Order: sequence, then C-alpha cells, then structure tokens
Amino acid sequence: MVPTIFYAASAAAAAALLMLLLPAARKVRTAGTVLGLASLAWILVTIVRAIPVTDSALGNVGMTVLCAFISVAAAVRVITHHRPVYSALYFVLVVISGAALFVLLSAEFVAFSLVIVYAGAILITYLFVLMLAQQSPSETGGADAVEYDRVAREPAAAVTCGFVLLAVLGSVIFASPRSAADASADQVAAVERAWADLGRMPDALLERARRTDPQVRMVVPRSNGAWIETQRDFTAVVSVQRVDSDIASDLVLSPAMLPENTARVGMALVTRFPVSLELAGVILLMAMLGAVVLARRQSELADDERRALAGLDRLAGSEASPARSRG
Amino acid sequence: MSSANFPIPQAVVAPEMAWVGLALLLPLVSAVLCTICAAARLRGKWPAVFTVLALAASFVVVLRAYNAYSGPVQVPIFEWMSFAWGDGRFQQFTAPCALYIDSLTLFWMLFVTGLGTLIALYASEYMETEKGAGYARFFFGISIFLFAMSSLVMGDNLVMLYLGWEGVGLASYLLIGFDYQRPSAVAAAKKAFIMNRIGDLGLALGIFMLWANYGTLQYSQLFQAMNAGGQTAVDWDVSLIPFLLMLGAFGKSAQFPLFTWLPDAMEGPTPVSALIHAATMVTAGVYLIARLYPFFALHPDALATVAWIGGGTALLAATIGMAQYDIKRVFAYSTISQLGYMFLGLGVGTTYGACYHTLTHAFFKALLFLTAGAIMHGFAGQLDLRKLSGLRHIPGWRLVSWTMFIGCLWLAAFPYTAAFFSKDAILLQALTSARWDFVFLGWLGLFTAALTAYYTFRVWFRVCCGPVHFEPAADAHHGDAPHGAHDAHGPHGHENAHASKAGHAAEHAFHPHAPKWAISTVLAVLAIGTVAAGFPAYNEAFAHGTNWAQKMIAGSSAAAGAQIVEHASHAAETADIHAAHATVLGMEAHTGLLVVGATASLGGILIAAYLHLFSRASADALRRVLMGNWFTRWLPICMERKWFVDEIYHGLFRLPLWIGSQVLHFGDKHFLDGVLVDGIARIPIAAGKLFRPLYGGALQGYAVSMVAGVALVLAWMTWVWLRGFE
Amino acid sequence: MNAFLAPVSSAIASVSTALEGMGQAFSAASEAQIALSLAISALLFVIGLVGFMVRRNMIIMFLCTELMFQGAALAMITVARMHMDVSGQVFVIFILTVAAAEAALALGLVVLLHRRRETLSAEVWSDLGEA
Repeated sequence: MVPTIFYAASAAAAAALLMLLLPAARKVRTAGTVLGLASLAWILVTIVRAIPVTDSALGNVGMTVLCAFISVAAAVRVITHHRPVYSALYFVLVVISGAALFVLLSAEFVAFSLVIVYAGAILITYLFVLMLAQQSPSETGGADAVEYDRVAREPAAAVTCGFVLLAVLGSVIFASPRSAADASADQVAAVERAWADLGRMPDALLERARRTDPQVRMVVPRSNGAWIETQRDFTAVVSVQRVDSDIASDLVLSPAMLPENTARVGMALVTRFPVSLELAGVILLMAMLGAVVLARRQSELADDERRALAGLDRLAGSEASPARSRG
Repeated sequence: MSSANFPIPQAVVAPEMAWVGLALLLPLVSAVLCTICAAARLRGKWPAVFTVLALAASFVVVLRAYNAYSGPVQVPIFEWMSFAWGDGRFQQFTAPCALYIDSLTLFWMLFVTGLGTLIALYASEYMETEKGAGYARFFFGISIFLFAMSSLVMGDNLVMLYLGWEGVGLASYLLIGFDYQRPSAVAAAKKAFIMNRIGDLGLALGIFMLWANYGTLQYSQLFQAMNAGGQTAVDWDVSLIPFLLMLGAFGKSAQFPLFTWLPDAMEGPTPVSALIHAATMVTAGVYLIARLYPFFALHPDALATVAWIGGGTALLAATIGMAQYDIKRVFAYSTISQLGYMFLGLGVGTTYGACYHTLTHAFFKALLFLTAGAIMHGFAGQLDLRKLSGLRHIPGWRLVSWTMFIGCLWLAAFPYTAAFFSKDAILLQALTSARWDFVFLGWLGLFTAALTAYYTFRVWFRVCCGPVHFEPAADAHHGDAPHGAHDAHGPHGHENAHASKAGHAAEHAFHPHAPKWAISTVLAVLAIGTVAAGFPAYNEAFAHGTNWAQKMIAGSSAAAGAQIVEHASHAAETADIHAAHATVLGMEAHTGLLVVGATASLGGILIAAYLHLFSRASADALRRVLMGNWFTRWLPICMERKWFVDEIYHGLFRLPLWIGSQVLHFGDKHFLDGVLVDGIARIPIAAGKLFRPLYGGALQGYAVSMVAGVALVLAWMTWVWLRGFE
Repeated sequence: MNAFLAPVSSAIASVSTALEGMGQAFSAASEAQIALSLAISALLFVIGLVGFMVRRNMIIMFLCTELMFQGAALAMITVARMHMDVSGQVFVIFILTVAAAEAALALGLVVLLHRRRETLSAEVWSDLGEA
C-alpha cells in the first residue's frame, strides 16, 4: 500500500522533472516546478505518515523535512539551470543543506568537513574551471546560453531510468524495520566504545573528570589496568586522585561526559582505519601528480607528434577544431 | 459349365531353349554399340549396320524358335526378382527374367522382328542426312525399342511385360522427339508419353489387383489359377481387373479417349511412325488383351466395353481422317481406326480375327508409311496432298506409287485382299452375334470400312494420279516439317490457301530426289509381304486348308480365353454354330458379308475416284455446299477440327492444372518465400536495427543504457528480496 | 501563534541539543528521521544520475557525479546514525578524499578536451560508436 503511493509520487516527481528539463515554454516550467514541489512534499509526507514519530523527535523530523526540501530543490536546479556557474552555486546550496542534514544526524565533524572541503575547495575548483573554459554566449551568436547547456539530451529516457531506480531504492525504506533488541545492542556497543575511546585520550579524560568534580587532580589507572570502566547504565567509572589526597577513588562520569563526535571520528580513524588513512593520503598524492601531468603545457610537443597523439589523422574531414596550435 | 473343358494349354519349363533369349539380348547389344559409336564419334553408317544385323539375327532366332516349337514353354533365363516373407501363397513375389513362348508369342515376334529389320534397313538410307551423333541416337532408340517390345511380348510375367510397356513408351518418346530442336516435336513427344502414362496407371493397378487376388504374376501360374478355379462368383474389386487392363491397352493403342497423341506423334521421323506407331508399339494393347483374355471373363461387360470403344474409335478416327490434308496424318488416323477394328474383334470374341488383322495391318500400314516417307524424303518434306499430284507419272517414282497402291488397296479391304479377310473375320463375328449391340457395331464397322476406303483412295488418287504437279516444302532440308497446324486450313479441296514459299518458279528448278536401293528394296519386300500375309486366309478360303494364323492363335491362351469368355457370358452356342446358323441380310453369313463388305469397299473407292480423280473441282463444290447450310456446316468443321477432342482435354485438364500451378506459384513465392523464409530472415535484421542505436558512440547514450540495465536488475532483485519478507 | 511557534521552538531546541551531540548521538534514532534521510539520499542520487545523463556540458556532468556522491554520503551517515557507529562517518571522510582527487583529475582532463575541440559539449567525443 505505502510503496504504491511512493511509486505514484515518484512518477509524479519524474513527470515534473521532465517538464523542467524540456526546453519548453515558461508555463510548462512553472507547472513543472509546482508539480515537483508538490510531489516532493507528497513523498516526504508519505514517509512520515508511514512511520510513527514520537514527540521528542518531532523537531528533528521537522528540520529534516525542511533541509530535505532545500537540498532536493537545489539539486534540481543544479541539473536544470542553463548557466553552468549557477549550477555550481546551487550545488553549494546542496552541500550546505546536506551539512545541515548531517548535523541533524549527529555527524558534526563530517558536516563541517563537508562544507570546508566540498564547498570550499572542490566547488571553487569547479568554478575556476568553469570560468576558464566556458564560452561566452555572444561568441556563439546571441543566445542566452550555449546550445549544449540549454537543450537537455534525451530527457525522457534518462528520467525514466532514473526514477525507476528511485522507486527501487525507495521501496527498500518500506521493508522490515529493525527490532528493538538490535537497536539497544547497538547502543550498548557504541557507548562502550565511546568510553574506551575516552580512556585513550588522557587530556580529555582529565578535563571531563575535572568538569564533573573540580577537586580532581589526576586520573589513575584502575585496578584491572584500564583507565575507564563502563557500567550498566551507560555511566563510566574512573579512578581519580583528588587534590587533597593520594588515594584513588572512583569517580562516576555521567553520559553527558561522553566524547564528542569529532574525537570519536578521529579515534576511529587512527585506531580502526589506519591503513585506509594512509591510503587516502596516497590517493591525494597521486591526484596531485596527475594534475601536474595534465596541466603540463602542450606546446613543447611538435605539431605532428601532437596530431599523432590525438589520433586526428583518422579524423580528417571531421569536426576537428581549426585552432590547435593554442596550448 | 466348368472351364475345365477348355483348358488353357499348360506351359512346360524348358531351360534348354534359353537361346531364344538372344532375341531379347541382341537389340540391347546393338544399343550399346550405337552408344559406343556416338561416344567415339564415328562417321558412317555403323549404327545402322549394327542395328540391322542385330535385328536380322533376332529374326533368325525367332524363326528357329518357331521351327522348334512344340507347345507352350516357359524358358527361365535368370533369377531377377524373388522375395518371400512367409510361406503362404500371398507372401512371396517372384518375377524371374524368363520367357513364355506359345504360339501367340511367336506370331507376334515374327512380324515384330521381321518388320523391325526391314524398317531399320529403310531408315539407314532415310536418316542418312543425320550422320554422326544423331544417326547413332536414332538407332539407339530403335534398338531400345525392340528390346522393350521383345520383353513385352516374350516375357513370362507381368513385370517383364510392364518393363517392356514402359520401355516402348520411353523409346517412343525418344524417337518422336528425335529432332529435339523443334518445339512441336518435343511437345508431341511429351504428349505421347504423358497420355501413355495415364493408360499405364490402369495397367499398373490391374497388375497389382492380379497379384493381390492370384498371388502370382507369371502367366503359367495365372492360367493355372484360371483353369482350376471357377469364374462364377468374384468380388467387385476382382471384376475391375479387366477394366484396368483395358485402360492400359487403350492408352498404348490410341483408342478413345487416349488417342490424340498418335497424330501428333507423326512429328517423329517416318521410319519411327512406321515401326512404332503403325506396326508394333500400338499393337501392344491388342497383345495385352489377347494374352490375358481369360481374365476378361471376370466381368460380364468387360469385353462389351472393349468392343464399343473399339468400334466407336474406328468410326471417329475415320471421320477425322477424311478431312486431313497431311498424308501422314491421314495414315495416323487410319491406324487408330484399324486398331479400333482390332479391339472390336477382341470385344466381340474373335481373337483370331483381331490378331490376324494385326498382322495384315502391320504389313500394309508399314508399307504405306514408308511410301509416305519416301515421298517426304524426295520432295523435301512436302506431304500436303493438295500440293502433290501425278507422282506415278514421274520417272523413278513408279515403284513408290504402285507399292502405295497395294497398301491402299489392302487398307480399303478390297475384296479378296488379306485385309479383307481379316476384317471379314471380325465383322462376321460381330454381325452374327447374339447380342444386338454387337450386331449394331458390326454394321457400324461396315460403314467405317466404306469411309476407310474413301479416304485411303482420296490420298492415292490425289497424290499418285492426275496431272503432274509438285511443290517442295518451305524448309528444303530433310526432316519431317511440322504439318499439324496445316491440316485444318482452308477448304476440303484443292485451293491453295497456304501459299508455299517455293512458288511456281521454284517448281521447275526443284528435282525430286527419287529413292535409292535401300528404300526401294524395303518397299518392294513389304509389298510382297503384304500380299503374302493373305496366304493363310487364301489357304482356308480357296484351298480349304488350315489357316495358319488361326492355328497359331487357337493354340494359345487367347483362344482358350475366348472359349472361357463364351461360357462365362452364358452364350448358348459356340462360334462355329454362330457362323453356321446366322444370317446377314437374309443371306448366309459368309456370303452375305462378302457382298456387303465388297459393296462398302468398292463404293468408297468409286466415290473417292469421282471426287478426287475425275472431277476434283466437285470436292470443293461439295464442301461449299456443306458449309453454306447452317446444319450441315458442323460436319466438315468437326471433322477438320478432330471433333475438338484436344480442346476438350485442354479445358478439362490442362487449364485447371495451369490455374492451380499459378495459384501455388503465387503462394510459394509470396507466402512461403516472402512471409516465411524472408520474413524469418528479416527478424534478425530488424532486431539488429533495433539494437544498433545502443552503440551510437555517444557517451551519455551509453550511460543511459547502463543505468537502464542497472535499474532493471536492481528492480528485479529488490522485488525478489521484498517478497521474502511476506 | 503559539501553535505555530511551538514546533519551531522545539525544532530549535533539538538543534541545539544536536549541536551538543553527546546525548543525542547515543539515543536511538527516530525511525522517521532515518527513513526520511534515506529517501533524501536516494533522491539526491537519482537527481544526480539524471543530470549526468541529461546535461551535455562536461563540467556540469561531473558536477552531477558530485551530487551522486552527496547522496551516497548522506546514506552512509544515516546508517551510521542508525547503528550508532562512527565508521560510516569515517567512510564519508574517505569519500570526500576521493571526490577531491577525482575532481582535480577530471577537471584537468576536461580542460584538455576543451582545448582540443574548443567546446565543452560532450557530444563531440562520439568516436567509439558503430556507424
């Protein structure tokens, strides 16, 4: 039942996207916009109504819906705008709303790194290249944008395929829910790991102990050698030495003292995924080398060599560009 | 009355007479030698030499066999077909290569081999312009023909007869179509062969039925079965046997309705017409019925059918022959007519009359055809009797004219000729029969005799008498020019509606090529033979001795069969009693028939003399009178147009078949070829065209198709996965 | 007014607690939020895919692939939140790394191709097809 509504909503969304993609009159595009927003709302409402929302989560859900609207609308604008620079800028909006969604999902570090790396670095690169390579409309004869930016290519086939995929992906959402037992098991494991992580961070541990009890002077290992011990009710106990005594006593840390997201991500990177970390570095190095190679000036090659490289001998009479000597 | 009183003579197995098989083997040897001549490209008359020698040798063998004859014998030569799949009578099939020699066989073989030799000798000169492969091919055909005819006549079982039957049909086809570059000859050959096949179907079915009911195909055993069992109660399918057999006989012997092939067969060279279509092949039907005569008692109306068909065909052919202008055509129709007499004879019960008439007819018809051939050979293919006249006054042509006169006289059954006696035997039996329809047929036969005499002497008076006048045919080269289409032109008389290209000027420059020694010798011998063929009858009539022919026939299965038939049809009297007590026109039978027959013959000759000798213009006048009146107009028209039988065939058979073939061709071309074959071929092509845009080369096109594939696969997988949750 | 502001204020409150992160991260995520986030990630991915197939400007095509990355990253984060495990977020960091590397190289190539044919249209590069 619910998947059917979802499919119908997807179909409506597909129609809307198609209307937006076709180089049609303004009225069609306006109608497409309206239909698109309506179908998006329909999709989201369908999902929300299918799954009950507790009151405490209502805010979260509401914000998620808002960010959803923004990111999807911006994404549509990315693909339908006839000017590339605007597409890139809308993409920035997508990234920002995506970061908001990440924050709502308790992934703060990733959210900010997304903004910094994506919107800050990658998108700037895109904008640079766009400015560099884009042809000005006045050169090509007066249209508002170049022809290959204005006219979409086989929108019907693309939209159909894409939204079939959407229906497939979306139907997974309405599959069986997770049992409560799994959820609590995950929770227990996560808290344990988090306390263990805190145990590896002496400064943070001391800081938290001090926050709990200002009299704490230092944290000492416990009798079993571990620095921190998780307890059943998600609290942890550490052995501390207070200012005015030398004996170690237990200090209970409340769940509010759990390490924050950034620390946990960092700890995971270093302890659980060290190899991937190194490899990521290697990838970046390769990318840098590749960029250097690609950006090499081509004028050192002779004309014949360049032609042979390009294999343009075989393309004699095709739409080979006249000015090859540049660059 | 049991037929045990008139047993068919039993055949004795005589392996020591295997040398008679040479008569069968020698023509085959000469055929092989002719092939070698053709392959070795020998020039000269070697093929003719081989053939004439082989045929003469077979004639000698037959003579020796005749001398050594003492009763029916069965001569095994080698084991040919013999299968047994059980022990019962109907679980074995034996058809050895063996000979059954009784007096009927010898009677037939004598004139077959004799005439064969003479005509081969004639053909050696007649075909001399065909030196090389054509010459050898001709004599190959003659040799094959004689081998097949010998197998037909001498074989001891129906399989050998059928082999010979088909073999003569094949030889006839090869020889009619000898000048294969002429479309009319090829068409005539095909027509002959196909029409024969229709008859052969009847013969084949008859043979099957015989085997199915008697369990054997060998004559000796069949006759034994006939001797032993009664003919009183037979199943309806067994009683069909005679009708099936007679269908075969009618096909081969050109009786109604299967006769139209014979006039067209005149497209072949004249020796072929003489040998095959006058003397030997066309008598195979008569031989078949004579040999298996006892089996014609299986149905009471079988022989009556034969008689009616024979009598009717005789009259029909005679009327057509009266209106033809091509000499060979006239003779062809007269052959059909005389064969009708033979079947009439068989039908009314006188096998002697039929067989004796076969003998006399063979001689005089061969003679007539050979004279026509000589005329054709000498006058560059001219055979139109409107364009030839007064031949007997031309030096060098006297022999031809007078031998033709003898032939015509015999054909017209002039009183006291051999043919007169043989025809007399047939008509006597018919007129003195107890059945009213046989009597009617007898009078019809007499009327036909008058017509025969008329048209025969029309030819002779026109061609050999009167003022000397001749025109060579348009194609001055040797060969039988197409005459078929020229028959029905113009009026009955002498008007030249068809302007000959030679014209009167060329007439004086053209010299007829008189026949040389080979042709002349043969004509003379044949003329003597024609006269001599009457000696058996003369012996009986004047010297009151034995009639050799009757003796030959009486000792064979034919005569015994006749007696069986007589008894099966519950005739109260024997043939002798018939002859003794019957009357013809109030006079005693023999005398009465003599008077009536002579009147018919002489009357015909006199009318022909008036219309074609004394006042030729009166023929035209008669025709004009007939054509003028609306009623009588149909008579000459039908006679000239051969009673439209060919047109009826065309409408009944050829046209529907042609329409059917057009329909099937259309269906085959458009449906089987177009829809099925081409259509199936177009499916992969269309599939290819459908899928080719996938490889357009555009990057995003590839992307779209990839995504489509992924979407479909994922959809299916998800569907399966989700179903697992239900 | 209150009825309208109440959800807004609770939304802001939830955001602030989210910014603190500690408590929220370890409580069970609301099913609706998970489902919504997954739906949004699917939508982003599909929109990026459609854009890749539809746009003919090479740079915008790559931008759409970045959109697809966004969708994938959101899905990762959502599932990490669902299982309260950080490794999903770690993987998103790697996605970010790879996306950066890929963007650098891809744009370099696009510039080269642009130099060859003086156009950013992807349709001029169709030599690999059948006739």
